[in-house]
Amino acid sequence: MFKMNAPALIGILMSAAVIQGCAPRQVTRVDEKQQIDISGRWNNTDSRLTAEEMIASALGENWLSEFTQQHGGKQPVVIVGMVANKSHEHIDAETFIKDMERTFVTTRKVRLVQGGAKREELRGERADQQKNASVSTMKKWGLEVGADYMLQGSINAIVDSHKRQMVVYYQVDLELTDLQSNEVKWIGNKKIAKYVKN
Amino acid sequence: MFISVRQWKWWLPLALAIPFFCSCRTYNSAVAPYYQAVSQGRFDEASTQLDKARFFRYGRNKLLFNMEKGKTAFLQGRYHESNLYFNAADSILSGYRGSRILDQTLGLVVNPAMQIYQGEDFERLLIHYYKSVNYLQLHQLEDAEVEARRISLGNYALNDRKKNNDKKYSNDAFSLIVQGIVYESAGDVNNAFISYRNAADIFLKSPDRRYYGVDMPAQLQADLLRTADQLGFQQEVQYYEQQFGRVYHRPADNDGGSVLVFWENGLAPVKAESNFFFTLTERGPGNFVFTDPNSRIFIPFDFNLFPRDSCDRLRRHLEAFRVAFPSYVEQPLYYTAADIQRDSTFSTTLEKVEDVNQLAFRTLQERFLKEMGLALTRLAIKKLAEYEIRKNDEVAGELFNLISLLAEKADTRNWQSLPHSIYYSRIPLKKGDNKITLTLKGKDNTQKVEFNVVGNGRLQTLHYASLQKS
Repeated sequence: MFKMNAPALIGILMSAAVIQGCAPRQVTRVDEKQQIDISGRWNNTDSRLTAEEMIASALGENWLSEFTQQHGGKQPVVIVGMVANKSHEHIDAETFIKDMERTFVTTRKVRLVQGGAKREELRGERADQQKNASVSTMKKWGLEVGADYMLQGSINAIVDSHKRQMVVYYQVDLELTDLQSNEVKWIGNKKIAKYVKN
Repeated sequence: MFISVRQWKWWLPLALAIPFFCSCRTYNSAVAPYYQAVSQGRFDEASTQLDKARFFRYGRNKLLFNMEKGKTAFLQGRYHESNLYFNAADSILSGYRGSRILDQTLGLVVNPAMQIYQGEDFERLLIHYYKSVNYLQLHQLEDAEVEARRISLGNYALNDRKKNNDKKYSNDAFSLIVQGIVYESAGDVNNAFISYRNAADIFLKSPDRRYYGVDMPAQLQADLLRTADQLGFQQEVQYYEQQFGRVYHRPADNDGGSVLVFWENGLAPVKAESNFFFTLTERGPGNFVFTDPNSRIFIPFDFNLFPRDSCDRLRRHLEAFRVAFPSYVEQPLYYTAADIQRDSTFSTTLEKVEDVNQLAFRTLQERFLKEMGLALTRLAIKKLAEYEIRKNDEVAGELFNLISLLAEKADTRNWQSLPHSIYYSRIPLKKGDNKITLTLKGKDNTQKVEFNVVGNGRLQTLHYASLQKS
């Protein structure tokens, strides 16, 4: 009777397994602060470290105390401008900028006004209210809070690679400029270097 | 040869199974009516043929079915429907696809055409091109941006698979150009700049500034310089002016925006089956290699899979291995170039931005040794299994050998409704109606196609496919 020899069959199956290898997909929840580097590209840890460094520097340096002293204890109002990404990767600056903004708002040391597309949307809503909202609840034009400072920045990267080795260096710079005088009041900086070997 | 009743029990089902595994037809001939309808521009009929073809009902061909359905719907201008199929194809590629051991075993024991179709690397990335254009046509800019981000993931995966090897297809310049166009359409100039720059850098890395049959498009150079200038990256403008050997002139303001025209020309090559013969020889003590009759190709024997003595056994019993391997056959072009005019005031020539034909040929060539090694391993495994069976039953061993021989078949599946090449150009628009005339030029024929595009101040996309073969 036709009977396949067991070692032969096992051999076939094992070879297939050796060639490809296989494991069903497994998903494990991890702590958001756990450092897991997989590809060597910009990741959540880089964003978190940048946010931590920038927040500590922005809230800890002289510009803040100088402003409150000069303005009778008032907090400065900041608007976030563009963070220009000049690196080779698509890096979303919003992840660390949002962390900064949240700290500004929760610590109440810095006031924040909305900028960019969101500001346009707000103005659109206000315009709509002029037609459709009751007069008592309608929000008026011209009462927006003017920002004292604008936060702008840039992300740069240098990649040095040879065969299977690569060094990636990221430099994130953020700066706060006085909107009245154009004077730069604070510069925050985070440098991240990674060595990747394939 | 006398066959007992007991053995007939095996002959019969095996005889019935042989045609199933060993059909000589290639994928192209199996679904010929569909491809004929596509190449002749009968897209509605093509879609019906796709639904009818039994070949596409097998689970292993699900990806191909979705890619072909997505492309047909795209050609019919059914962008939403097209993306439903492409999204299904995309999720097949990124999702969990059942037991890979079983799939790989099937490929090894029978032939690779029985495995789940995973798509060629460039096919996987072209899904994003079609999805992006679909979303842009539907004015779903946020979805298009999601697609643009998926292009990065696709490129990273390709890069990792090819271990960042510059000599292989480890990056895809066209998908990065598409990514830039999507970001620019959505108003994200910074990300558009990064995409254009990454695409240009791929061309610049090569000494002749060509990448898989495509010269660095002047359109890409213009887009890169313009986005850098818009962002105020003057240092980058100067650097790339030097690299491209051109001086950047800020374009005149045009209130109508612009339209990016993609022209898909011809059809991708089809896969045929080629047979290669190898013998197992010893090169130096204990170093076994498979070599072709002309001794030009040497593929080392994989000792991770077999004990050393199995090589001797294989050599004692075997004279030659026949390996069926896919090879591409080019689909000759009907049109070879195209011009585009706007209202007789603006005229330009479309530039080649993706040469699917050359990409297919070259990527298959690049993985020849790896694939051939796998095919030879497959044969060697079958041979060893045959010896084991022979020990117990000579007739069964003979049968197994026969089936192995007949089942040896190359995987000739590929996404054949892809174009031979893709061309593009960006046309400035005036506000309101713009008459765009595309002039397709062949050896002895010229065809004019007209479109009306309403200039709205933004970047729009337009596509036209001429899939005829000469």
